[in-house]
Amino acid sequence: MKVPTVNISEETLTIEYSRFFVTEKTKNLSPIDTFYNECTELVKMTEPSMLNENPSLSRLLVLGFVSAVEKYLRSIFCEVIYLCPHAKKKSSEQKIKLGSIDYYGLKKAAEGIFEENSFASSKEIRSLSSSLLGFTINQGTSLDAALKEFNKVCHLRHCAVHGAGKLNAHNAKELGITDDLNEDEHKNLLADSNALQDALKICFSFVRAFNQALFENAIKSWVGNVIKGGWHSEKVIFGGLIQAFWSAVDNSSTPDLRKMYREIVPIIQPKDVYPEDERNYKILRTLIKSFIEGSSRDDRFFNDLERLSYFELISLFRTLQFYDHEELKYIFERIIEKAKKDHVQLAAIHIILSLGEDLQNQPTEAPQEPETEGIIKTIQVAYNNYGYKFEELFPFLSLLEISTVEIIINTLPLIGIELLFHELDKRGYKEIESVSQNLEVLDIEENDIQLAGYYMLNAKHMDDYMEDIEVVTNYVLRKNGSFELTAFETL
Amino acid sequence: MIKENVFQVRAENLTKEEILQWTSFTEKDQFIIKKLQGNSSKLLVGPRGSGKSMLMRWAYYSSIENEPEILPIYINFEKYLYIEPILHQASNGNVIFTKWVLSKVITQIVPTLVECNRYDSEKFSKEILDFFKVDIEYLQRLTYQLEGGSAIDRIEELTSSVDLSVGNVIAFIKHILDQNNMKRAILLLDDAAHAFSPRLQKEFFEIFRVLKSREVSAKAAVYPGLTNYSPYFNIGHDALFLDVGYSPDEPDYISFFDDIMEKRFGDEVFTKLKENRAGLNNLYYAANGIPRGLIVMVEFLLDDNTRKKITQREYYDAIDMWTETVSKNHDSLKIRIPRYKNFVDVGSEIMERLLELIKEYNKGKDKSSKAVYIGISNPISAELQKVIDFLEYSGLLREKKNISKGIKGVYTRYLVHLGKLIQANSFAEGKTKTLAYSSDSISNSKLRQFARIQADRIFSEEVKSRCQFDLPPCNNCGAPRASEQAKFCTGCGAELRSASIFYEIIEQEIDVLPLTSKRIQRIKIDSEIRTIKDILMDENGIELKKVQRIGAWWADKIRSYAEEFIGG
Repeated sequence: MKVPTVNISEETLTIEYSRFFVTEKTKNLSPIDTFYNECTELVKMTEPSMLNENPSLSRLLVLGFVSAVEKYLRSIFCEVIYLCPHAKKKSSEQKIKLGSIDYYGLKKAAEGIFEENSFASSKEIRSLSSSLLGFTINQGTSLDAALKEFNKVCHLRHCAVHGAGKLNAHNAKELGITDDLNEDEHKNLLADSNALQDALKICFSFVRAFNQALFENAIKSWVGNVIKGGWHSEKVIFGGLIQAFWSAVDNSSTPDLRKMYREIVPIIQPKDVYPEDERNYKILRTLIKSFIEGSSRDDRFFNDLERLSYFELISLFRTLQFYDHEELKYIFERIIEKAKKDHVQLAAIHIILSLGEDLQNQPTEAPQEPETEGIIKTIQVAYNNYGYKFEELFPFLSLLEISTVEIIINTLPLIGIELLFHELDKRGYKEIESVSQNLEVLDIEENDIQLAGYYMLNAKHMDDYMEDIEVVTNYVLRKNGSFELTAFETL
Repeated sequence: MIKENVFQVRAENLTKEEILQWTSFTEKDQFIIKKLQGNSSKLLVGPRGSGKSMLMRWAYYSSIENEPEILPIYINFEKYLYIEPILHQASNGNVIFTKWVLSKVITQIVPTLVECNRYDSEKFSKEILDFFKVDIEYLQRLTYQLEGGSAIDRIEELTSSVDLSVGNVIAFIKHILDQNNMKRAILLLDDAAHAFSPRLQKEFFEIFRVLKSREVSAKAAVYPGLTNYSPYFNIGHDALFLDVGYSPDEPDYISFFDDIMEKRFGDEVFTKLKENRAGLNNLYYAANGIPRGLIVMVEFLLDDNTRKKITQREYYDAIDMWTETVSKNHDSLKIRIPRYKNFVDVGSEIMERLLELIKEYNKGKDKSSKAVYIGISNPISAELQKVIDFLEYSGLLREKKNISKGIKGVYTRYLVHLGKLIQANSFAEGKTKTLAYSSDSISNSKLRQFARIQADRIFSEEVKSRCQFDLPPCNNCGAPRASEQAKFCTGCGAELRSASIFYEIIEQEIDVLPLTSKRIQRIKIDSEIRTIKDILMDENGIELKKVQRIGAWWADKIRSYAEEFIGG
């Protein structure tokens, strides 16, 4: 039997498939911005005359839109699995092919999961969101409505991909197209510019709703466990999450991470801050709220601070320090500079001291020169009323870059010369010189001078201030007539 | 003595007693009220001030007084446009809008039950809870927050927990009917389809279409011209039109307006004005069937004429003043909905042209055969129709439903605003016009006498090309929009942002309000108020009252101007 030929014969052709691809640098854009960029290119092709000349373009565009959404979903899923411990846990049971670890690398291995899955219908999007990210799309929400609408665009895509535009019965039903057709008629996908743009707008709405809702979901699941309120230790992971969701296209600015962070950290109640006394809870609440909302630089904030007691302030500062101690440092600087009440300054000093190393290791820009007089007064109050040890105060003073000479001279009766020289020793020659020259104006006990001598002998910078030792010695001799130079004998 | 509220022109602001005392009804009105109380869906169509609210409120009160079997529910949707921003903030804006409409319906059952002395608050609350899973306060809060423009996440949260659908609202109403031994409910939906948001209109008519059962029927008051029905809404099948307004070609037009005069202003004023019958009739006609117009003109005449005789000049001044108001209402659409600016401009030109054409037609004709109608040849293009829609919306034209099909072709006939005709001397009396001549000409006019106009004579290709939506170009590359519906720029691919119409309106400067420039200056100097929005936000007029010469009365007045500006 010879079967008739019904068409011309095929031919042999094997081609090099790498010709279909070019290698590109991966741009450092968030998934949503990548989506926008791709669509911006596609939508230019909805130009009416271009569509008129190439009617098939409309099918390809529908396909392009949905595929841009799919790419967005893949990348945002990967980002979240990589960043979010909850999602990581949720997806840890997923199997992926060993080959994909090799292909994508460990960091992006999650992309391997999607090789087996597609995002081209609402059903799949719902189920993957839930199984991989633990993210449920609730009925009746804006996202739910956006997804349902996007699902219709997916049906358009299905029609474009699988039937070259010919509408099948299932898609017709899902799209609500119920026109009666004659036997020799069919529906063909051939959309005009406005219809295509509407379809793209639906994709935009879906991506936007999804991006926002998934972000909210992540943040909500993080607060209290991943995000506890310590800005310094958490800013990297928090910043990573923001960058993954942030659209620079929509916002035209970089995100203010600290501000956002403060907006989401758990709010602390006044009773947790200061359980001892409830009289000032109203003020405390206002202060915590304005700190978290970022209005802590207003004058009102500082006026309110002055209405609290010393111990309330200490407790409040401890709490705020946990939220964001960089901002707190700004507040302290201003307190030192301007606070009208000593106890406020003192509370600030107390916290600065307790922060210790941390604060010194991360200096901000040099603060303004504070008023020396205020500082001196504060130190006196600290000593008299609260029993501060002065060695505790020195690191603070040096941090503020205050010229210490005047302060030291004025507080010498309190501080004792022993400590004075001890501190001076740490600071170096210039200060010692200056203090030495001023010794005469001071009424110093003999005892102290001896001690001073002792300290000076043991000082690290001995060689540098030999001259000054002479000054001191001369001074003492002049003053006392006799002096036991035992301490100097070794010289 | 003139009563205090006598010049109040909005029925919403009148008390029950004032409505029952002042309203005058023609036979046609009685017919409309019967239909409003009837058991099928109806659309009450009429321009601003034509008495739609009055008829609805009358139907409401008279059902309560005289129809024990009927439960009337009156709902005013004047805050319609306040909901519109939702469409730009969420994908389910239409669902939220539906819940707003339905929750208003439910909460407005309360005043009816109170009015009928059948309200048991505890019992009612429990029933609401049973049906909708939330209490009545929750529903009130929901509408309040939606109208107040609360943050979208708050609104989503509120709406998502309410189980509101047309189905369970109808079931609830049925339940209330059974409880009170009533047979059926009529829903009187006033200000139902705000003219400025076609998208919400479509959503509204989707609700309206299905809001009916054997026991429940809905009636909606709508404007002519700018009302967009939903694609599934089938006029005739889903609802019938009821044309409100008093057509000057109806035989009892004069006696009807006499009746309004007498009831509203009392014997003394009526007798005084009747002294010049032709003058008074001119006022009636110039009102063009709108009672509000008559009230405004009489107010104008009485203002500085308490004793002396009213001159012919003053009658014309009053008519000018009112017709200017009507024209301004049309012009104000340019500012209120800037995207339609070009259509409104073309409309004003066409209106002038029509007045000239009528005058030409009337030249040399006898008083008994003057025309007040024009017929525009069919077909009427979509663009021209849009222009006419705006004119109809403002009351400058009024379509007569039966079209003329004769040997000269098919014509759609429109009544031209009679005040405009009087003002423009369109009866072509000669050098000096008299009040008697115009009122005689109008009273003798007939629908079959109309000036025929070929559509392309008033709407040339050049004019048509000017009918473009005035939408901002792409703010990325500056290219004009490919079409009104375009959502992206095909030049650079950037998204074209679709602004909320509501925001477009309220973010306009207060200069657009009908206030003197002096007062506007003063407000800007003495207060922080700059935009319509600022006035709406200024609850109790605290900020406004900081302004020199603005007390409680003016603050209220300015606020009502602002609300009117948004009102469709």
